[in-house]
Amino acid sequence: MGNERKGIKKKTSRFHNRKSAYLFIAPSLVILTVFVFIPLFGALFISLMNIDIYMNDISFAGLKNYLRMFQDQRVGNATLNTLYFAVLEVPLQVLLALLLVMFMTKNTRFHKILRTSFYLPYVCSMTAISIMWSMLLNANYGMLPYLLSKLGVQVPNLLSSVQWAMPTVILVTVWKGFGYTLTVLSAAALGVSNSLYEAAELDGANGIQKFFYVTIPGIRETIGFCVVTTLIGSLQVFDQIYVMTSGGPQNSTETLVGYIYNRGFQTAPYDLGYASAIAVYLFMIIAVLTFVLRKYAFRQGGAEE
Amino acid sequence: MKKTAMSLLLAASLAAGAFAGTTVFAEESSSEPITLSVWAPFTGSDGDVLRELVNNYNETNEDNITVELDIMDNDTLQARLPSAVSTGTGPSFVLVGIEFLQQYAENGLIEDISDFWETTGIDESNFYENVLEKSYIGDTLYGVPMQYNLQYLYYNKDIFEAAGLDPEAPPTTLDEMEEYALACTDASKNQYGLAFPMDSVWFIQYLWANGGDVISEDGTENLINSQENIDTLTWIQNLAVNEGATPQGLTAVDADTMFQAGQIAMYTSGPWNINGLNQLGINYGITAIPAGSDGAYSPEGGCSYMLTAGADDATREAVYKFMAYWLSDATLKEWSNRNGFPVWSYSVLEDEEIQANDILLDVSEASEIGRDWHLNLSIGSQIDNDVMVPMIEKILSGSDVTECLQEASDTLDGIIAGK
Amino acid sequence: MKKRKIRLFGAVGYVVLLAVFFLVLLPLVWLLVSSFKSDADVIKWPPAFFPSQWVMTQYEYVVNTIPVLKMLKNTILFAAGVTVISLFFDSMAAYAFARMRFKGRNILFGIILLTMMIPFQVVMIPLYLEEFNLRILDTYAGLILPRAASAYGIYMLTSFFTGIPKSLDEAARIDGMGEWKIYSRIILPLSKPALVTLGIYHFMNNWNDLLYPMMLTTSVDMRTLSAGLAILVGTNSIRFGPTLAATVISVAPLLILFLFGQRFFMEGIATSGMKE
Repeated sequence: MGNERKGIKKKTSRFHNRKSAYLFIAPSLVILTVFVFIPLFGALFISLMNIDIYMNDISFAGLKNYLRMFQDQRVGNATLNTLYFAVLEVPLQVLLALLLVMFMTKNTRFHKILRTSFYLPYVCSMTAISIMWSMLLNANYGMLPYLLSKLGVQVPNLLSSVQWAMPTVILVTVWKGFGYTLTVLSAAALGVSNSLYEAAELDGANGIQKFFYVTIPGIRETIGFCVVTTLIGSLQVFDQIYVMTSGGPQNSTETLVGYIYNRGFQTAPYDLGYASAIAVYLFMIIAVLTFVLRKYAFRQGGAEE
Repeated sequence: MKKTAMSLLLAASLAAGAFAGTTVFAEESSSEPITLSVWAPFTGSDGDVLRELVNNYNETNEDNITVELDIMDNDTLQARLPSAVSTGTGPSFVLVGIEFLQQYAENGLIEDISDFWETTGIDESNFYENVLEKSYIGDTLYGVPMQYNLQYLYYNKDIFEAAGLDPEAPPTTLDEMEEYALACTDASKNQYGLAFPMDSVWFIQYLWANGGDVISEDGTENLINSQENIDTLTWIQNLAVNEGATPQGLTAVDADTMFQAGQIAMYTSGPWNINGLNQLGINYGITAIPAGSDGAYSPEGGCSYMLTAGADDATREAVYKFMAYWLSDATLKEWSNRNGFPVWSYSVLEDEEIQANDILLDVSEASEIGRDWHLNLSIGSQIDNDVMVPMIEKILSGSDVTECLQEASDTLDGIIAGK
Repeated sequence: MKKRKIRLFGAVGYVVLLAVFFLVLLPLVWLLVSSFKSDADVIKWPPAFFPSQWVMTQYEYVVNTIPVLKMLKNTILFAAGVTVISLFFDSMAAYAFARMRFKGRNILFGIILLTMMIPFQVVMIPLYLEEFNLRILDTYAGLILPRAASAYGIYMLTSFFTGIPKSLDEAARIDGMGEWKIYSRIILPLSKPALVTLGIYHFMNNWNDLLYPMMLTTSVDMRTLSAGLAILVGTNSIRFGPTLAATVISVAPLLILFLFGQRFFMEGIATSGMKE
């Protein structure tokens, strides 16, 4: 597929449809500029100020907020937790989805029902799902530990254990999100030409081989898309942690967005300047990771040619 | 001026016209219909009663006033309010914890309402002074109290009875509490004598009970690292870790839930659970926080109605009318009767129905040991979030008490120094 | 030998699929069933899967406390508005990025990707002030416009459009078709599955969003359904029973829509088999 596309590209490069391209992009660009970049510059501006949520007595702070970050252990802790979450959550979610795609390449009734069911958690709101799992997993009154204890398995209180809280939050996130990744991937997998599968079958390939030699190369770009977008989302994780652990126990699940929220809106002196500085720092982490990943791992990404 | 700097910057970059300080509620005279909005963080079962009372006001008032109650999570409310007020898009008034009053006033979020008593003709002396004074800064009134409360000891009478204890004789000292807790604990039945959450500051009353403290009232002196506190916290840790008298890894919400499910014999909480417990039909009692070597104390709390800054005369007048409605005997009585909040009005106290409400009498009796827990300190939430909660988390998970206190003390020093 | 392998692959597949199926479904069934429990039943110890008595009290409570219908209307207007406009703008931009060559393409694409990386919590105060200055705070426009284009959608559709054979639009260009016609007559019809997938994505995300509609609406009249959940879930208290019922209420319309649209959705995917 890649080769073919390059061949075509040469031919199409004769067309220099420049002006109309900008017209096609303009509406999106205007919206994103007005409602994302301007507020972002607002946040950038705030990060250079001594400013609290009440916005009285504002004064210029220079880089003070940024320098303060380096002495704050909780920023380091939250950075590690955020990376921990992303490093575990992204592969788990994408690999689980891929594994299921491997077994679901046909569009039978059974597979349709499965696809619909797997999508169900994604339909629910994160808040609701988080509350549901907190109830189910609670060691003192939850359904799951109770059933397991009947089977003789003692489960610790997962969400209040320094060791287990983060893995638990990650698993709940995967539980909620894999169905969507699965849908995107199977939409792509179903689009892989049947003739390729037939050719592979003629060569004597079995199910696993077909998957690795036909399906995966055929949907490589979509996999890259899923990895990149899941990563960007996971580095901004907030809702499920806010509901399930509020960053505890002992800050073991406190992520950067959680800490930003905590400094800016939950704890006096509601230091908006400092919270914004951490936000700019997080933004840079995400940007660097995303572009490095796109550049080295997924060269085929849309506009990278 | 500076408050609008941010908005102006944005406005300029957008070329979207000048900053306009229009307020949403611009009614001219009070005889015309007026809609007031109020934000309140009443997400618990007491919010149902609040909603009923507000609806009742909307249906019965003759001034054409409609109060629109907007209930939201406290964190969300605190995040939204400052920018909403500074742009004139905030609610007409708010109903929030009195610990916010000082900073709201300092930052110009709420109005001086010192003329409230005179305007409405309500007799100020009909109300408990210790409740009213929390809405004053100096001689200036910034809020009208909506409720007042302490922390109380809830106990499950059925569990007491099953453990061979007298269900009508709850513990009055910490030693008794410990003894009863151990008698009621049966981990095999998932039943515990006490509930010590790790995400809230439920233990300040025990520190006080044995003569300890955390910070001086003016917020300048760090008092946390004392022998008294080491002893009290060691006692707590022993009960939790060695004796297993409390479930491990508990949150405050878990504690409420487990008490409601009849799995906890004793725990401390505010009165907002009473409505829910009554509905569930739990056989429970309420008593004062037990005494330690220095006496019995309980942290005070409460909520007040506050008028949002920038209110015009018509809004102010209408909000006063609603506040006056709240202070009427019928409303206050209903609130206390239904939710078990202690009565703080002399005229309501004499009411027969109030006198006949056993739980309410217990609550009122248990409300005489109130003590101020950093209500007027702007660093209050920081002390809770950065010092107290991390400390109790570690102590409940078995860390060395002396080290935890030292660490907490160092953090507290930093907060006092304004870092 | 070979046949046995295929059968083994199939068997392992069934086991894995069924295991995941039950892992996904059981908690959701528990959620549904528990929404018919009384308050005491929800927190009962020892816990029971089924209610001791099936009651509607949680639903009655939610309907009496939250203006469900009004919020439903807001949610539909908000989510559908965002979905329609955003699909349109996203696909236009994606068309340019995937099918046209122009100066600054990579930089512009990178800039658009950057907008995905900003957590809402960071920009919510500046956005609030900006919407105030634009006088669109607490309006449908104020809710819809900031979401009317999305980097996620542009990225997704760009990947998809890139995969459509270029021979198609080349032929059209030779026939003298303009870019707009190629976009609307050739690329869009071919991209039905991707557009539907993205449409559902936009619809659900906005349907379920809590903080965003909460921040940008000042009156109860403008609240969405999921923001209505906020009445039940607080920092210090959670109303378990009503929360379960409210979740079912807020998910039910989506579910019906999804099941209804699924035929179209999956058929769309099946017909796209002609990709290469």
